[in-house]
Amino acid sequence: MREVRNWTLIRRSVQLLVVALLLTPVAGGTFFTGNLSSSQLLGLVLSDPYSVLETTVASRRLLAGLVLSGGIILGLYWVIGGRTYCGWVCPVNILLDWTDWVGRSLRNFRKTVSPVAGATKPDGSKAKGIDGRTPYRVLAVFLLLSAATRLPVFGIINPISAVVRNLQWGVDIGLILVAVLVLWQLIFRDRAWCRYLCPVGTIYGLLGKSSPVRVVLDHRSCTHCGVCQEVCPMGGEPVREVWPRPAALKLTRLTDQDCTNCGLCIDRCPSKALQYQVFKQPAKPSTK
Amino acid sequence: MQQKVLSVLGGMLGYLVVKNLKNKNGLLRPPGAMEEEAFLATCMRCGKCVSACPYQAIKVGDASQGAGVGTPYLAARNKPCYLCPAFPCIKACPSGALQDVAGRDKVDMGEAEINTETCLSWQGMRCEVCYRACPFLDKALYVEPFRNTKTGKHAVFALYVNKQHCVGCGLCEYVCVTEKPSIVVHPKGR
Repeated sequence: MREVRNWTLIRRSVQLLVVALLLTPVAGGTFFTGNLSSSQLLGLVLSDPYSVLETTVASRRLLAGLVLSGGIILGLYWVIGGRTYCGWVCPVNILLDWTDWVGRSLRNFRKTVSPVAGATKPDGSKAKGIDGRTPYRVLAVFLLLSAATRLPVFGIINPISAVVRNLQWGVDIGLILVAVLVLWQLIFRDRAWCRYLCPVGTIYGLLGKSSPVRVVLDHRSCTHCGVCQEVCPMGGEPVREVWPRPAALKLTRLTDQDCTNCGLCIDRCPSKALQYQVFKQPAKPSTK
Repeated sequence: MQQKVLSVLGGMLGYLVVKNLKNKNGLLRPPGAMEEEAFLATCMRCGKCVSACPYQAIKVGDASQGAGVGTPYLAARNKPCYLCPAFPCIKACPSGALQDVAGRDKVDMGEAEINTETCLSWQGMRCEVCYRACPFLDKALYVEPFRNTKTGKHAVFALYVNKQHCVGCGLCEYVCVTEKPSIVVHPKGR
């Protein structure tokens, strides 16, 4: 695992496999049915934890089977890194990665993305930006709206659902939501949906803080060149957060709840100072 | 600047959602569906019932359904519910938005209604195609002839819906021979 430096290829393949899996029920397959809200794989019911939460709140019923199906997914994602869903499963991520590529190719954008308010920039100063508590406020607002209207409000406007529904059953006007996300990212060069709005990601992000699979930075090899924070689709905060550490600490885990384990920082680090780590095994220093 | 744009967008979105709260069209839901408000709250929009239907009669609501986007519905004129005894749609539902029914006759999707002005049987012509298609022959759809006063020497084999037995499956609407069906299912009153 240490020598793999093209995680993007592996990750994209997994994402495309997920899309293929989502298309199998439409083609008549029965081993997998459903979508990213709730599905059934070989008889096992699996549900998105946020969708379960929102449905529970909207319906005012505690549905044991549904909660169990959400719990299985919670457990699975705790093991594999929390927000790994965003980097490795979510189809909107494929679209937004591509949007990043288009944005970079167009060259006429501001260099920096807006960091989380209060984050320490490489030069030591504090950055202004959208409040870091925004994702939690958004989560609370969606849940409150769902309770009040007795509708799964996020479920209705969710662009992830729109993309999957359009892939499975045909194009409809819901794609406008996705177009808005793409335009925002092109104009502001900020993955605002993923960083501040999507409550699905917020829930997974909380899981990731204690997950056994995380990216780890080896300070012995790090030259503070800043490439990792440049390529990080989440604004660089996950890796910036672990920079200022005393030299005595050799390895630091990236536990920021925005980190999607996408592996771009690992791929691009010229000193190979970043890698995935499972269960706090000591990382071997890279050979220079 | 970003925060302001985000707030405006959020406000617009919230307004749109609240404005389109109820699904406007009174859709025919799969068998076992809860009453509409509870259904919209409980349905996970997962599409498993859609895949489970062996007749592909259940469709997915698109964005024009407002709050019903992603929820399952039937268009009886395209494909009715054939009332599979095993109800695979109900079994597939993860949240109980589709609840178990005690039997085919206990389903309550809606009620059929005959337009006596366009119905061929009611005009005195012998049609009765819906009568024969109905899974509850003589119970949900029955014939009661009366004298045809226009000709003076024939009977009109008039068809009637028994609301107590009609489950709203839509087989009648599906087979009706007139271009615009003379018998339609009204989804159960929410």
